[in-house]
Amino acid sequence: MTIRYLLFVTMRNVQSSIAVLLAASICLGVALFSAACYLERDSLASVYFPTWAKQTKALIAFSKKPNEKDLKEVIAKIHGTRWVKSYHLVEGKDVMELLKKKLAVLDKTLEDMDPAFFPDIMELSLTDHCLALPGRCESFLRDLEKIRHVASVYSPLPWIKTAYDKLQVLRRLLLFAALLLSFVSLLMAGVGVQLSLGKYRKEAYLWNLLGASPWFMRFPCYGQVCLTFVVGVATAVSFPYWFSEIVCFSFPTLLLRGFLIASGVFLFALVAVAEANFRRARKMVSGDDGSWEK
Amino acid sequence: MAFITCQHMYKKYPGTDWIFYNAGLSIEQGQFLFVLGNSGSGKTTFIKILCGQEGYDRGRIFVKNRNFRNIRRKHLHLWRRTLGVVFQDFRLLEDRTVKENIALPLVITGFGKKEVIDRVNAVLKLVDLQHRADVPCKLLSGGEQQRVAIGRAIVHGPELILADEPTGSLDDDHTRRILQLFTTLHRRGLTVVIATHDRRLPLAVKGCRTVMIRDKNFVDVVPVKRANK
Repeated sequence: MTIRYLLFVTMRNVQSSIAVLLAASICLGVALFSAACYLERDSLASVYFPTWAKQTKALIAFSKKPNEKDLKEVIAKIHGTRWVKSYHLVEGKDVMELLKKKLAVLDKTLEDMDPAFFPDIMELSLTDHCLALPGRCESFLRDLEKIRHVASVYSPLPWIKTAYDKLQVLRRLLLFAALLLSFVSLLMAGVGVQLSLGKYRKEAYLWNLLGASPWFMRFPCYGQVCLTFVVGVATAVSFPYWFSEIVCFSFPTLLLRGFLIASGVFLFALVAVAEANFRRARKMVSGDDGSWEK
Repeated sequence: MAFITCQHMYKKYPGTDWIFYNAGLSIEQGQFLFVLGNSGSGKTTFIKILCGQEGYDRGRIFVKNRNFRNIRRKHLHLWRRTLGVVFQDFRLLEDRTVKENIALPLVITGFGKKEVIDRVNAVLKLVDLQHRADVPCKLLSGGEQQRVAIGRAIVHGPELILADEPTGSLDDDHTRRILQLFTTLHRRGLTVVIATHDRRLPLAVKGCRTVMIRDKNFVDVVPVKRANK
């Protein structure tokens, strides 16, 4: 009976400030999520770069059909670098076939053309390092242009670099927000505990006068802290995860999916904080938070 | 053997005059004691000192020949379990039912479920609140709340009952019923200490002892009607 009573008091204390504690947990989740994005470049890339950007390809166009020696020279240059994941040679006639398929309207015009008109192309799949260090990757690609029979190298990196620079600013803002939200979550967890203890204080004082042992007095407090910790960590970890899962499931082809996830998580945290503060303010105004009790 | 003995007790709050100055009082086991005094004379402070809520500055208090100061803070709850305290403002959990309020000391001290139910039912019968057992305390009248507070004070079988102004806000009829209840408990062998400002109360209880707080000390007095006889 004693344990049941203590559990009841503990649950009541947690429940009395559940909105604040959940908001705090979500803030913490966002902070963890953002910090993880900041600390780990791969995560950052996966969140802030659309999936297609990770499959970035550069194209090497040859001025004439390359012989084996030319190809070897290019491959030797590519091999052993950290910029290129794989390569694939596409011959001019294959390029034409590809264009035929894609541009069915122009089919007739292409029929008349000499397949030799299209130069052979080598397709390079770039690694994630290129996204992280686009400047250095770009200079490597420019070096390829100096090889004989290489007409030009088409690289998407310059505009990716521009986007990356802008995202760096966002990334710093994100880190700042993460720090701020960690602080907010700590404050809110403190407020939550204070809110529930306000109600509990009167009862605990009475227990003390009626002869409750020290452990009996402390149990609801410890219980509340443990329960809050478990619920808080579970929410903090699972909320961003499930939110991103839902977005990925709902918008499988959306290009800016990562951005949507990050923005959604932040927005949800802000709404949760506002809602929790509103509840607390309402409780304080109605004098229901126990603050009037001595 | 004296149940409680206060010797040369001194007490003052910071920034105030002495409340007790070299005060002495002895309470016998099974005694019915009224502590009379005007407002601010120190009745509540005395009750608080006896239940360990307040300390005293100098002097000695013995409980069954054991020095009260030697009771360590972490063992104070064991002393409080031998007390039944009726507070001036009742201190009930207002959103809980009569039954739950009365059961509180038993739950706190770890009684089993069957024992709790049996004792609570017995006490409800004693304080005549069986019909209100499941009513939240905030819906009770002042007299009923007073009886709940008394029920809570006696349910765990204390040796000493301390009541601070137990009839302070009650009409004459309710006062008489509450005093009858205390008399019943006294007849069962409990030591009862009632602090009150109402000088008529001791007249209603036969065989009680009355002390008055005068000049920061306890003075034995005889109730007026008996003195007239």
